[in-house]
Amino acid sequence: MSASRTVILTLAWLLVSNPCAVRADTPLDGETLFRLACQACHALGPETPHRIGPPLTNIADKPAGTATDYPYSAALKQSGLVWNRPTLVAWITGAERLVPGTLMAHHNTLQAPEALRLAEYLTRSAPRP
Amino acid sequence: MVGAGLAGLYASSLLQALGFGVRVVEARKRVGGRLRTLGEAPLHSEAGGNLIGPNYGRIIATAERLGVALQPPPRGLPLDYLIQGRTVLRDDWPTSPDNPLPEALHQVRPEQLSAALLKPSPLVTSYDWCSPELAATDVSVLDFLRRNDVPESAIALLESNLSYGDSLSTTSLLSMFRVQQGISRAMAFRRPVLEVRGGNQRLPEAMAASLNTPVELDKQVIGLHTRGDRVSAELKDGTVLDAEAVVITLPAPALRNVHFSPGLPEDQWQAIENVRYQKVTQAHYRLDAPTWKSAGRSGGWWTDGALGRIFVRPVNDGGPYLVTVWITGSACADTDALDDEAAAAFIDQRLRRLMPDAADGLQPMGLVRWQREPLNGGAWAIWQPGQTGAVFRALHRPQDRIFFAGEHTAYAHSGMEGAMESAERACLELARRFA
Repeated sequence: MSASRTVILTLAWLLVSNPCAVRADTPLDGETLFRLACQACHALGPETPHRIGPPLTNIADKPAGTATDYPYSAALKQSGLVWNRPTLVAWITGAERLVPGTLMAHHNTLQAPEALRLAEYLTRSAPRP
Repeated sequence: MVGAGLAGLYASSLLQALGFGVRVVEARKRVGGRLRTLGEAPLHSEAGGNLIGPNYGRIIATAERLGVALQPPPRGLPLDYLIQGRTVLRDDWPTSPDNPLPEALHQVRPEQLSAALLKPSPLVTSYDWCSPELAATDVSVLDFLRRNDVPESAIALLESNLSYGDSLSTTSLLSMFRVQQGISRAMAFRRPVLEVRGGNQRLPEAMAASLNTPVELDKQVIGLHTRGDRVSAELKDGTVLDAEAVVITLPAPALRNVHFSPGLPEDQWQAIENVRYQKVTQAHYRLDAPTWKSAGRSGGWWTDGALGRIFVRPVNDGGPYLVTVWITGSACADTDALDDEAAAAFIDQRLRRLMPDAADGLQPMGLVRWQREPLNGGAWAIWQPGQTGAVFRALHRPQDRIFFAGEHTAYAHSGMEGAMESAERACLELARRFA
């Protein structure tokens, strides 16, 4: 048995026999991250009522601060941001630094890959229920 | 889930929605923790969490989801001043000879003094207050005032009615900037503050009722023991509950009475031991008629004496009114050594002397002293200089299968919304391991 094959088998064995190892590697999907980080303040469905924040339905490629009837901060309206994966990741991980003066007071607790998965989830084209 | 206050109930609903089985135990015989409504609607008075900021997104969304009605509260009446035993009517404050402030500050009212003197704030984000870099340079409010040559008369006035510390010398400047920033952020929404129709405690009650399994009341956790892949929660009544993971939402003074095995790391235990909680003593009354009007008074009071502040708000236009004596910080010492009856009498006597026209009409509704509640140890966490960095962070560091939440662990919000924010963070930490 080669060394590399041993390592792989050992790792595989560790993964199936050590629940902690498996759990530590289980990534949370975009929907779960949305539920835990965004949902209280933002709707994301076909019906898009404002919560305390604007709806995020079909947000991809939209300029920031343009949902109908939402009273955005002047700072966000004038930010020139267009929502895509990179800008959303930057927003999710540090909205208040990206646009000082935004109304959104949010402390990010997501890790970098989670922020990316959440941004991917938000920019998928189909609206979700 | 240990604790059925806002943090515990919201975390339970989030975990349930993710498919976890959640069992909630609560030491009291009611849910709501530091949301506590005295009396029956419409004559009810809030002894705990009071106003819902227009920026309290999680609270507002939860109320909407559960059909709990929110409404702007009636406006509280303005305050007159009792300084060194002398009355200064509200409109007279800027020109009164009894206004102790130096000329340049004469226009500033006592309740506005903190905002007028504590600036400029270095905070940009809502969570800069707890950044380790800023915390390393934090000083006490008193140090800051002295460095800025603020007159002693203003400092003396500021020492009265502290809501975020026991004294200016032990209050973190950053924590005060955080408070001011929180107010500015709420005002930026340009929408009214809210309360729950029928009393704020109706919200946690509705949250509890919406869970798949009822909250188990009168069950106090006294020990959390992690063995292998299980945590056992030892209850005061001798029973032991078994769980895969635990979220504990108790405030720090209550955490001190929980035995953790294995023990928490030294810095975390020190943080739990050392973080202080705001002393708040309240005496609640009902008053049917606006008796202060005949004497030309405003209704409410801001005093530098034993009674602290007295807030008066109408239930309906023209009455009845709710009167709350609100004593904070070191001023609570006058009554903390007394039993409930003697403490109520101490306050009652002085209140009736201050409001002689109301003396016959004041009907006591209850005395609440959060610092004397062993399950709370105070109204909310307060921060000493230097504690907002590592100490704050240590408080909520997960330990194996135990996760920490509660308003004292929130970054961007405080109070009720802070409790809800902390629940999201704890659930995320838990879900990463167990989803």
